[in-house]
Amino acid sequence: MTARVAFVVVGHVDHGKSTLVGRLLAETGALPDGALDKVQGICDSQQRPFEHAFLLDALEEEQRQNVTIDVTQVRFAHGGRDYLLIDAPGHRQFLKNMITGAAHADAALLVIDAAEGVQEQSRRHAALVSFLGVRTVIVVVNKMDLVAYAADAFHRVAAEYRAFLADIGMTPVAIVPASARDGDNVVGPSERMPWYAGSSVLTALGAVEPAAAESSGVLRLPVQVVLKLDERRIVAGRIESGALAVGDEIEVWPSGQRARVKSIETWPEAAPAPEGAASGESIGITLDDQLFVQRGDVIAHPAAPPRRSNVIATSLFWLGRQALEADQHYRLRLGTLERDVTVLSITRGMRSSSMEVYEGQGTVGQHDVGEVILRASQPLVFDPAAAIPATGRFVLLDGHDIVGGGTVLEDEDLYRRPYGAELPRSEHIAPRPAGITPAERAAAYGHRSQVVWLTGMPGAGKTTVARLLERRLFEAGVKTFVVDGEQLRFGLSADLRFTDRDRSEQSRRAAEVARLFQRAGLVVIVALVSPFTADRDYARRLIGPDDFMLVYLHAPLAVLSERERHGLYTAAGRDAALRIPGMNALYEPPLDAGCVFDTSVVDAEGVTGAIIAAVERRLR
Amino acid sequence: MDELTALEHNSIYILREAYSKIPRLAMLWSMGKDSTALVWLTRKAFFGKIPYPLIHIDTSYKIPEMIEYRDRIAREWELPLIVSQNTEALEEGMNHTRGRLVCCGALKTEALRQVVEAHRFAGIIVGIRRDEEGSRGKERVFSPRTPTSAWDVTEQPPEFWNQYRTDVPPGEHVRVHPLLDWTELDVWRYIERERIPMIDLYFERDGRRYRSLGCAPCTASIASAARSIADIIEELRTTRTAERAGRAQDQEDTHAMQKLRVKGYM
Repeated sequence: MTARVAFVVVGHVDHGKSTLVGRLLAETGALPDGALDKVQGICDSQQRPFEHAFLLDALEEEQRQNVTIDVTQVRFAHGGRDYLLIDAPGHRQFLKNMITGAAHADAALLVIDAAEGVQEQSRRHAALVSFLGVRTVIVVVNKMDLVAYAADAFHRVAAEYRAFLADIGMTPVAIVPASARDGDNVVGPSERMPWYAGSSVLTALGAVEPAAAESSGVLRLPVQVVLKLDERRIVAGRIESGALAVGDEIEVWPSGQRARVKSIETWPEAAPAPEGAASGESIGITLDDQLFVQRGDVIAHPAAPPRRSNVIATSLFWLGRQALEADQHYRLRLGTLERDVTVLSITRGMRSSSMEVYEGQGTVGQHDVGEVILRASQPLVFDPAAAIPATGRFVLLDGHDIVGGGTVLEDEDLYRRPYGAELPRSEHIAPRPAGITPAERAAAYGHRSQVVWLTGMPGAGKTTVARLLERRLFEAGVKTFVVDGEQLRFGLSADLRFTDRDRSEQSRRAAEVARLFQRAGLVVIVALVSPFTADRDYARRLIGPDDFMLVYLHAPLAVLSERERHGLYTAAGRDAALRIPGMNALYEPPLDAGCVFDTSVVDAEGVTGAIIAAVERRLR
Repeated sequence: MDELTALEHNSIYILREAYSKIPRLAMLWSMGKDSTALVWLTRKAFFGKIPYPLIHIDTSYKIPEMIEYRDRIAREWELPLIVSQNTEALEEGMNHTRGRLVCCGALKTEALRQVVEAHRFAGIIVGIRRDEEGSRGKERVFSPRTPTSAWDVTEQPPEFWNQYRTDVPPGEHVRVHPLLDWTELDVWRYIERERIPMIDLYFERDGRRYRSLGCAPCTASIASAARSIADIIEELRTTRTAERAGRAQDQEDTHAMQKLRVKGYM
């Protein structure tokens, strides 16, 4: 049997998608007897010319309003090949239906009206189709009859769209000038466009191969259900990647327990019994050890385990009517695994119709895309989507409804961190929705909240500047508070030493505390050595880049050692076991600080004034 | 993996999702080729066992051979079968002469609604396919129904990356459609490959056969010489007739199927 190639037909509303599909079906003889007559009858009764779109827009509402509401799939065969066309609605309101259609496609057919040119949905659809994993696109510049079949009109639209596609990393395999209504360049060449020597829509479709199955070769078997039949406990699921054989040693994540595959079960019983199974197969296996396995677990080979973390960096598209904001709670579903998650921070939101980054505070609006950090109540088991798409894609649910889809990004640092790998012990609690919104607090307090994070080696002047900054802000009526590293060490971090690992943990705790005060509406000033870039990055991501300002204070070592009031530098000179960042331990100077000051040149008043000037506009 | 195997594994995946996520689940079985293939897929998904009841909506007007076949297969395969009838409407004399859509509404839609309500089913697995007719082409794999069994065609949930709206709020139920992506031809090829026993009505007798099965008064046979599954597959390759052309209720109105289906028809 020849492989089917599935195309999703997308583009702006009224640019002629359904008409193009209807025309393709009619001209390739794919329609059953009576289908054309039925549509002719409907059109006669509405006193309108024959509408090819009605071949697909079967719903009464669709025909009455002449708009595609929901996605439909139709098949046709041509030249010994099977095609599946997925006709998607172009209206903004029905975007989730477009996404439903596009997710099943090998390639996309992007339809653009030659007279109207590139419109909002032309761009948004391309961006979302790309997000969903569709890489091959054919562009049809339709309604060439409206521009008198002129070559320059075609080239103008083609160039503009090609540039946008390039921005999102897509290159069309063909750009075809056509008139779906009249059939020009749909199946065969058009006499009205002798200047165009390229392929027709149908020949362009014929040149596309089905998308290769996405399998990395690494075994991932997400558990769907465990069935107890007579003596057997059958672990059932679909292999999403790689292959497995009887006798293989496997691990079950997140627990990490090991066992061997005892059998691959089938019904009716196969003789001989299968020895192995591969990607795409819905199988059932038994194990040689009675492990506790449940839905949501992921089976993998020990040599290539999935990642485990309760914090993930993601790129997502949003369908919810309410914008996605920090601190909101959703249910996440990744394969068969479900977890409650909190939006920790929003790195950036972008308009999917232009790929412009939003101004102002981090949200992701309906139909837009963004980069977001999520924190789960329980360990997540996943792979970065770039490595294994099936275990790197997830959806977010609000109540019962899917409101977004995303991919997990590679983030070596985030997933390796202790707070990534060491998971919360409180297994039986779930986050609750926040009550008062940040906007409400800002209105009541008269200013937005912020974290000003002062980093620098001991003696650089962090505490001095922090105290002065607090005083100045307080006097100006701003609600503010200092989180000082040294103060934390007497209480919250009393269990920590000065090892690299403990310094990281200290930074994490300071970031969590700062985040709480910041969410309470305050301007939080953190004074902390925080020697590692990764820790400062983590703090920025935890809090959100719009609410976080990094300030780097530094001075020559001689000045530091003279100034440092505990005599740490002198002590470290004598005692190698005492490790001081910047002297005998690593201090990584930030390259991304919002402000940098040499405190041997500028005094505390000067530094404070400059920080206030920089932070002021972020509080409005 | 060939196309048919891919469809099979995907349907098994959907059946297992439904079983894992939906507490009170049942499957419709009409004895036709599609729902019988679905019973077969269920046995594959759950290793020979059927973990949820099968429902036959018996209008009392079915072609008599269908009932014989039902009882024989149910016995041989040990099927957990619920036969449901809108007895009130039948006692009151409901039949197709009162209007085909009225009759379908009472004896199929309403009978189904009654059995869903009586057993408080949260999910019903149905063997519909997109290529059968236009309104089914717009369906979802997990398709929500309101407490009155209504289908809101303009507000359907998104489905992508094998994620579906599998949560069922109290009072609602969900129709699960594991064969949505299959075509008529796929189903026959699968029946041939798996050697699934089919009812004789699909094969030629006196120059005619049934292509789609339903109630005797409203289902017409077609002229055909197909005596085997291989013959049927060959016939379907070249036919220009729609599958449901012999189903009289479809022809009652331009949007007959949609009108039936928004109220809860299968």
